[in-house]
Amino acid sequence: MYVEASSPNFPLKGPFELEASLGGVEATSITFWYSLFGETMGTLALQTFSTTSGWVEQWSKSGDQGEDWQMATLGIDTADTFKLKFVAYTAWDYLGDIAIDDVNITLGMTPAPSLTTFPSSSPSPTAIPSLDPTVAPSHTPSPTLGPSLGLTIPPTTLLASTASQLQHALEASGNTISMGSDVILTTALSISNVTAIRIFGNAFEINGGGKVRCVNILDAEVFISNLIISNGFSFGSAGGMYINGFSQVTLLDCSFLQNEAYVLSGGAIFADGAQDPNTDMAEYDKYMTIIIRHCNFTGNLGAFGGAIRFNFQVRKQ
Amino acid sequence: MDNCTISENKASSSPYATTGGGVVASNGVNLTMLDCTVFRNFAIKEGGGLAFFGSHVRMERCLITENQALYGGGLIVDSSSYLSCTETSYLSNEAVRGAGAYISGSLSTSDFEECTFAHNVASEGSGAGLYISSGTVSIESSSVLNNTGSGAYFTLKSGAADG
Repeated sequence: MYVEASSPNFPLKGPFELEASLGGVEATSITFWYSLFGETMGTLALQTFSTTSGWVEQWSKSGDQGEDWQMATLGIDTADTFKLKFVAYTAWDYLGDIAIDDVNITLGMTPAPSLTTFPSSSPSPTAIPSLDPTVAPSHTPSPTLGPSLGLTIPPTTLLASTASQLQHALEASGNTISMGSDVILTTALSISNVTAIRIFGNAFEINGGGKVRCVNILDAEVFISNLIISNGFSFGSAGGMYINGFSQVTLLDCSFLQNEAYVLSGGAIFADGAQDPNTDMAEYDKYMTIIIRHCNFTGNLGAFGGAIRFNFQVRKQ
Repeated sequence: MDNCTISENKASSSPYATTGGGVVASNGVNLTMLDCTVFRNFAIKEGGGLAFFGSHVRMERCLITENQALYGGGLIVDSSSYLSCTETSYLSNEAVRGAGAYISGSLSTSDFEECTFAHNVASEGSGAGLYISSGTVSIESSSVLNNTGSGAYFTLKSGAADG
């Protein structure tokens, strides 16, 4: 699969999808290589379909991931996963071609008519061939990796059903978090100085109870999907979400409802890219970037930006 | 931002500043809004739906409708902003002045192409569709129709108005 980001495929075009059916056999893990190289890179995601959960996002990357091909391996712990698809979106400009290659899927058991106490031969996962990419850019995956036959791959997703579980999961880079319940906060969640945090909200809600801000994002790289952020409150700015520093934030299919910033900016979101007034931004090679896609902002209240205030810095002269 | 809905938000909670009921972009922000709906937002002061101050904004295929403010019911542009607005409709917004859009800031540049300003209501009668106080404005292949009050209002200080 190869997505060419040149005109007319930018800005913000997609979804570009590649879907495969697994012929009625469960997938238990998947390994693939991807290339996300470019200054204006969009998003590549992997979704799986199960009869119990429908389409669920299992993995996602946004932004420039460097010149080299990268490998991703993830376990799929959703039962009855029979289909998967890669979904790509471009971003603001043409420097954002997206490619995948060498997709290997480890399959579980074919549904059996009855269970035996101890099968004489263990279920033998098998790898199926590549998903027939339309264009297969050349690269050199490590020859020692081979197919993922029989590998035991730990689940990569942390389930969070309480505020403390959620906060704990947000403190290490690379964590993928799946919400298991609505959460009412007594203090704001903090996502600070971490990268590659992914939160799958599963349509659950983070609720500030009308008393506290819901989320602080400080110099962090975060992807959040399908989450409701509601009833956050701040006397100053950002009732729902405060974003600061050089954060890279993607919000997909999220709702911001009834958040309030009482006297200042951004009832739902205050994204403040301003640095110290004496900071010369030319010394830095990146800026805060926020992608907000398929989101809904309703009933939020603020003084300057009822729903959202985006702010940047007046550069030092 | 793309494919987002911004509805029923208010800039009204503070006694100090109440601007930009939906979205504010300020101080050098680069903002792109594609296929968004800005619906029934309210600001006590200015920019019921959107308020852009000193920012670079591109809007395409958006719907700005039923927003209210004192000035700029749908949109206010001010303070050296650059706005490129394409295939966007400003419908049924309300304000005292500049119900659809209020354009200000002598260093601001606003380009409207294939836009529609219709059924907006300016209670003071000036610029129901657009009120251009200052700045450089280009309007091309656009419609300004069925507004209550004058369709478009230009002050002598405004720069070029093409199309």
